[in-house]
Amino acid sequence: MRKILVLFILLAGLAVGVFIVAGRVRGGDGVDTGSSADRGQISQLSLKFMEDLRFKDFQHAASYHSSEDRKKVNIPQLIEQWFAVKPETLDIMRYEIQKVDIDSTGKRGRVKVKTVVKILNMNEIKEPEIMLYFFKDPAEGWIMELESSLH
Amino acid sequence: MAASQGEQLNVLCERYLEIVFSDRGNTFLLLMQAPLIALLIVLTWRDVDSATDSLYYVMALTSLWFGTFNACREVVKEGPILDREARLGVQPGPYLLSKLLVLALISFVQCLCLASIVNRSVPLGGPPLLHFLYLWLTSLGGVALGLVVSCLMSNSDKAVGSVVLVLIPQMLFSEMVLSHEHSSSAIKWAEDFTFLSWAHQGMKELTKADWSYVTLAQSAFMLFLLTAGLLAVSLFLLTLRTGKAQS
Repeated sequence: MRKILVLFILLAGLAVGVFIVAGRVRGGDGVDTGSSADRGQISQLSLKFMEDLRFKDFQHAASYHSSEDRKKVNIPQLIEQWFAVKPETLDIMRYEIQKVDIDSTGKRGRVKVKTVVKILNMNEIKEPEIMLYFFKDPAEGWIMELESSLH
Repeated sequence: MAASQGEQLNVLCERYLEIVFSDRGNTFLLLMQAPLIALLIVLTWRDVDSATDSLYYVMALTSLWFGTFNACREVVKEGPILDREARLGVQPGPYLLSKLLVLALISFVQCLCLASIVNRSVPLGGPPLLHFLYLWLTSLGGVALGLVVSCLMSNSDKAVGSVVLVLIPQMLFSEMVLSHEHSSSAIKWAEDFTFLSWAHQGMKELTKADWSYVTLAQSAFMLFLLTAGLLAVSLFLLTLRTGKAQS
């Protein structure tokens, strides 16, 4: 019993050590840096944005952009550019985040999203990938970058 | 006079640990499973450097398999020894606890290998230590499931064969297999009794920026509750068996 307890304590110490070291060595190339909270935050924003697109809630989808961009953002046009179809013929069936990058400054981020969409009038299924770009505004927090998203 | 339950637990733990360490081939095989499977997972997800829902599901499933397979033969293979010792006063409680503690130690190592290797190549999102803890809790659930199988079956072959029967429902009744919008209320109800659903829910919650501590605690508590329930079943079966052996 004592042996088992000692082994448990040693292994628990090892577990904490392994994950602390793993957290410190990760980084470089501008990939995988940034706190997990930031990565989680832009992942969540991306998923919510995709959900808005799925349910054609363009007004809410625009809310992830800066207050200035919100006035000029044209989500249907964005959809047309990304998927090369009119929004009314698009059925976003599934989406999944594939990659989340945060740069070395921790102020810019990008999220690669893989989607499965159906072009309704052609009965065709496609799997386009989308890249969403974000920047961290000191006042507003993580914001989707409209220009980079458009081009 | 028979030894107290605490003394019995000490002796049984020491003996079981010695048996495990002396069977080096089998122990090596058990411990090598985790890094090998972790490498296969890394190979599959290597181009996706952010964890996906399916990754959490596969990791939780792997942990559950580890626990169940580690435990499924551990009582049944010692059937005659247990019967003899029961006649000499060995209690089912310390016997079961000795199995649980040693198997928990093996699961700990396996889940640590799995979580650390995968996390090195595919960041798990959220604190990896907490992901590891969910995996370990799931693996402990697997151990409890394996012990029930081991108490029910009459020989090791049947026990190994039955593992598939208890693990497939765990895999099937999951949102990952069929989304909630398509599943019936009976399936959703069944999901509440699977380790994978709760482990998956907890691990997914960890990736969110604003964790819900309630959801995290609920997932962990349900894993614990299901494990405790299965251990109670094992204890009941062992009590029946030792009672029969004593009479």
